[in-house]
Amino acid sequence: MNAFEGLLFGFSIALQVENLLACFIGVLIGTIVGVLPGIGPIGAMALLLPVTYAMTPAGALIMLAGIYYGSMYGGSTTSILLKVPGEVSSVITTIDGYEMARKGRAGAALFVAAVGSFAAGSVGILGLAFLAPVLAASALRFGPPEFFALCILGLLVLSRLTGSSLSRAAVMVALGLSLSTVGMEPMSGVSRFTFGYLDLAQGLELVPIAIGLFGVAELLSSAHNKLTNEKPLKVSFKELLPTRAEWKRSQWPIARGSLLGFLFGLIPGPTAIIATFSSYALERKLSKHPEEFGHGAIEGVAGPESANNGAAQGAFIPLLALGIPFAPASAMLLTALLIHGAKTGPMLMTESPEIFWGVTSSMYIGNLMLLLLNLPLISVFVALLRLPMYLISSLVVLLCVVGTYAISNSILDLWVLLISGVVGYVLRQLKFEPVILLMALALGPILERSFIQSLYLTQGDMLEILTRPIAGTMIFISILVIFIPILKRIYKSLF
Amino acid sequence: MTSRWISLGTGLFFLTLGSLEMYLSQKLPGGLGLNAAEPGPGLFPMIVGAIMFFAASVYLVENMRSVSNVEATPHRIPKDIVLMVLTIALYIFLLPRAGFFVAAFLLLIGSLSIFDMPGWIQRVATALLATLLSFAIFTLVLNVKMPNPSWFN
Repeated sequence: MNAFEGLLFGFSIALQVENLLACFIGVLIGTIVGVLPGIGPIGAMALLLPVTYAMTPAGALIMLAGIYYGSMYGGSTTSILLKVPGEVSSVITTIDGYEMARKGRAGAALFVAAVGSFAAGSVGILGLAFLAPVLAASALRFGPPEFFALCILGLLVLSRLTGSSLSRAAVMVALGLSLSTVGMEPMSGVSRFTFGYLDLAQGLELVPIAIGLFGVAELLSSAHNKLTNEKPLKVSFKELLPTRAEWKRSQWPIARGSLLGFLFGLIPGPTAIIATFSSYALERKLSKHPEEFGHGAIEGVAGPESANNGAAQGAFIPLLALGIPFAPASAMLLTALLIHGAKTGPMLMTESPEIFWGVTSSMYIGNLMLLLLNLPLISVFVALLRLPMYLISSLVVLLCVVGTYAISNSILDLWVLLISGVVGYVLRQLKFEPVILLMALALGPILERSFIQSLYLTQGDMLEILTRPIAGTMIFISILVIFIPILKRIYKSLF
Repeated sequence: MTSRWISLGTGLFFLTLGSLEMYLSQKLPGGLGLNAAEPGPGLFPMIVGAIMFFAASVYLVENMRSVSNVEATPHRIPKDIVLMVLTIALYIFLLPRAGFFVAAFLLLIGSLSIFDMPGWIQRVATALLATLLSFAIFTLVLNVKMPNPSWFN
């Protein structure tokens, strides 16, 4: 199946009524999550994972993916109207977006952000449709050593990009991998670290830990900080359209931001944030009026808003083609795939084409829905900001516990949720990154399996991996990722 | 408590965890395996434990050298966080014993109070409505089986 045939097949899946509904619910929840400060897209995806049990794997992925890219749209609304980023990737939009709103151009800023996000989404989907099959085809030649090297590279690069110190990141990786070893060992059937609890033999469920680390920990944090409702600036539908001059100034930043974001999305780590900052810097450099940046330059909204959506779409490539989550949100989607018993990795495309192509095509429909939803309904989403935080937070608490219980009707899962929430809160206070822990936990079984298989394959001589071109290159890059910052530090201290 | 003491405690905690993991990995049936070509179930956790031990040692050295001996803020666990944790723990304890309605209602009352919802009557009414709504959504629409209390049966 080539990319065009694949896309057509994908549309036949995505246009089924139940999948259209899943897509709509996903992008709607994503927009709401993006608008409301507090719970982020990862927390929302984690919370809704149990709800997807009743859905087909393709429908579940379509809905969860919709939450992810929908939140990128929604995040811009609060950035522009409140100067409060709904999402971390919308931080940069607060600078010029809010300044535009103060000058009465909130509608134009929101319009350009929505159109930019749509354009970037479209670029990302085309890239995904053409690039992912090529990558997956080459990954079919991957053996256990290559998967082992890829997992190591993914974990290391993510660890370095989150801004955590190397020792902190390594502790989080080790903690995540340790948790992944709890339960029955797949090769020998030996129970590890279960301490006599039969319930633990199946291993720790990823979902309660994810909801705990992101949902409950966030709630504990807001219980202390007491988020209050801010008063958003008013937007009327009349002033929604940008002027001809504003539109002209936005076109190239949208194009550049879309491409830049997509390319950044292919790299492991929180690339949506880096992409927005890079796009902002690029637009400022290329602008004929750099002095306007920081005072309401429309390019400062168009570029970064396109870049964050482009990065969100690009991040799907390593996930769908290789089965390796390079971003926290991708880890959640991988969890959903595993829960639904779908083959992950390069086999996804051949064994479950309806998931791969269905999700890819649904993104186009989802982006179109977002464009149609966000522009006329902007005032509805703004009204959401007036909902009292005590009500939202309390409902989220209830959703966390009921959603977790719904996974396997297990009280143990609820205790795991609570403990993970407390651990997540404490880790944040101590400046550890729970995202790395979650990634290591998700990748742990793949990493262990490929490690053990590699040992069998090489007769215990792991150095043989280095002689394999792909695995060797990835291990070499991993070593560079660890040692370059250390060498830089030594160089700085010496000279 | 000073930042130095917090770092020391954190580092020692992970150091102990890594050591414990290495120790328990060896004790597993099959242990580390016969040789590298025939690995046992304890080999991977052993390596992970060693990474944690090493990383925690580096963390300790780094932080003991660089962290100043100033008072860390906040130096006490905020009351609201403790209350929130206890409220969720109460829900988990009550769910199999008193059933969903009682557990969820008390969870919502506790949570609305912690998040400063004004007025007791409003809190009770909101909690009651939200409990009924969530019960309807999860059990009737999504078919989640909620535990029934023994006295209910």
